[in-house]
Amino acid sequence: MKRAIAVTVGALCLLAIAFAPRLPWSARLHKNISRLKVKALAQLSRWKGSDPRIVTISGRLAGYGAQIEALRGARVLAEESMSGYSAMSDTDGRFSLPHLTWFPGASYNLLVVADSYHLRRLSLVSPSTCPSNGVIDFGELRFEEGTEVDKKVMLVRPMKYDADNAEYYTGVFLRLTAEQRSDEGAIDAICKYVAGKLNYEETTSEFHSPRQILERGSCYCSNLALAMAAITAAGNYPTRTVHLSDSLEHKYTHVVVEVYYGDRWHLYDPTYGVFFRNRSEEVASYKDLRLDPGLVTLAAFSTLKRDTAESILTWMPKAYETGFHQIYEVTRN
Amino acid sequence: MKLDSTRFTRSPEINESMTQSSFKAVVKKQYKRSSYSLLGVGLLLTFALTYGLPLATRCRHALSKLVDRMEMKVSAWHGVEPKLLSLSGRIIAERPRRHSLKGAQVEALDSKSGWASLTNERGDFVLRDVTWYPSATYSLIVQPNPYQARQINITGPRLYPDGSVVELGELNFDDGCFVEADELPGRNSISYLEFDQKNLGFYRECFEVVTKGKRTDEAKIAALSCYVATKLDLYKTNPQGEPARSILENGSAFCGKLALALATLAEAADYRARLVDVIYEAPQVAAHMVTEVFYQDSWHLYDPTSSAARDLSDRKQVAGYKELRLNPTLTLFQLREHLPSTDSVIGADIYRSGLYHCYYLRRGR
Repeated sequence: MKRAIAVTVGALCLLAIAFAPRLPWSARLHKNISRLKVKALAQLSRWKGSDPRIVTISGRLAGYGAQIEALRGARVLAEESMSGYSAMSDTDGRFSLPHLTWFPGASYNLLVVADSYHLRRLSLVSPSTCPSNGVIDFGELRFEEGTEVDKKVMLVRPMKYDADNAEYYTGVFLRLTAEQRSDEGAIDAICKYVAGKLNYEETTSEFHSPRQILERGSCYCSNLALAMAAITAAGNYPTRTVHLSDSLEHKYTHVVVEVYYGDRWHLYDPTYGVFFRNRSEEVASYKDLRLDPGLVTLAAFSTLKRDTAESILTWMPKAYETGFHQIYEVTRN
Repeated sequence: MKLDSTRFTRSPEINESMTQSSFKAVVKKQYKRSSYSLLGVGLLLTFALTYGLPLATRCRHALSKLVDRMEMKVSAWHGVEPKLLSLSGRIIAERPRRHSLKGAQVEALDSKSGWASLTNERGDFVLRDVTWYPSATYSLIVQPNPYQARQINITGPRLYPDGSVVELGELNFDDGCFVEADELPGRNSISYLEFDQKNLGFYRECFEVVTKGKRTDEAKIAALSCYVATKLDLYKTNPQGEPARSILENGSAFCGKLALALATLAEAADYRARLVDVIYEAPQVAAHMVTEVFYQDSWHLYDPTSSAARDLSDRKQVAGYKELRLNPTLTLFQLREHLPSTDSVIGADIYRSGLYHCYYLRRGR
């Protein structure tokens, strides 16, 4: 009897430690359990004869007062997303969130991040029948009707800094930025240096470290972004990579780098060694480009051949316009 | 009937062995109990003090506060009473190359005054009114941006310094340990005021009327600031704790009240707003309260008391306190003609000290 009580208490303690909110592992565990739950329910639905389908959910975010402008360019994430892609709303608050699983009675927990102070969870229930075009439109979603969420919830994925080669990256940073007097100049110099490592002969996708990418070059934007992120992080700049996609089918995907300085994020594209200017003539952020893909202009690609630049312009604005993205933040702690 | 008493009598050997075994059992039980208790206490302590767990920072903070209090008591017994002094220094970063950290927030944990400081262009800061006693230790929280914060621990001098200022010299940001600044207990530079939820309907109605036809956040908040500025009444003294509604209805002579009224109107429309109490010397130490409102991913400063004008930053946006601290020439103050001359100091100069205290409005959303 005593033993049973002790075992029960022990198990309860373990469960409490595993699931209690605000513990370091809580967010990840919660996310994994959500995904498992979706998989289990989808399987159950399959057994019942109703096959689950991959759908996109769309809607228009609306709110009151401060929320009206904040919801333009708001991030929308779903814990149940199979691909991990998030969405960013457009100037009208509209968004499309891809790769969710539909089955009768499926529910979606949307995290809407308007800015650092406006973060809410909206719970939606799927319709009993799946629309033939695979897009479930929830219409207008009122932000104020959502529940407030703890800021500690996982909004970006962590990307471990390659500390083993820290000295190497610091050396590269110091060399590249020795003559630069501004943050913009320094980061642009790094971006252009990494763009010089674009090597169409090097098709390896598996590198052991960003250092190897810098030494051997790469034909992949993701590798070049990783390399640039390692250098800017060595320079103590908060850094993250942004993974973009132009469509549900991922016809064109692209990876760029965002660097934080001057109290805001700035986007650099280390594949082509370019950045774009927003309406205030600052280096644009991903949010700026999502809200105004017209900022991606031919002029930014002046260092490239005209036909190369023109072919890039056939798909790149679309990759920003969809709002499909994933963010990985370099963690050095 | 006579009972056979011998049936129930044990031999002395048995008795002795029984006593020994029961003694052993008791000892074993006690040993077991104390090891369980020790294990429990150990687990509790581990849970309470391990870095990364939710209670750890609070428990460590409570312990260090206790130690500080004891040290102060001991110092008082030795005849050295704790006093207030200022800490002055420069924040630099060595990696990847040496540079000063400008516009970084610096504050001492558990500071009695609750003032924080923003470093200037050269990374210089002064923290006023921290408690000194011989060899007191100070935990400085340095935060150059929302993504990076470090704690730098320093030990104060054994003797009270002349001029009441301790020159700390250069402090290397890279030598500090990583901290989550948002969750640190003991950050006294932030206080909370209760939002006047009771009058929410009134504030929302006010917001709707004042911002009618305004399309952007900037235009809406500027309209609110201008509206609140009309409530300045130099002959109106308000009782303590007066709600923002009566300030809007009856006016006020105090910058703090007007700043609160503006913050309340903005909060009613779900903007995040905070009151910034700015400290300056003119020539005595004085304070002025302004309002910062968060929109378009940054804070923007409005002064409903002395200026209805907006101060534009290099980005052609309304500047925040940090921008004004780093570049006080941004202020294009239009002093209201009816302000008394002593108030003329309320201009760019007030932001030069970098000393401030923030009040956030707390509301059950």
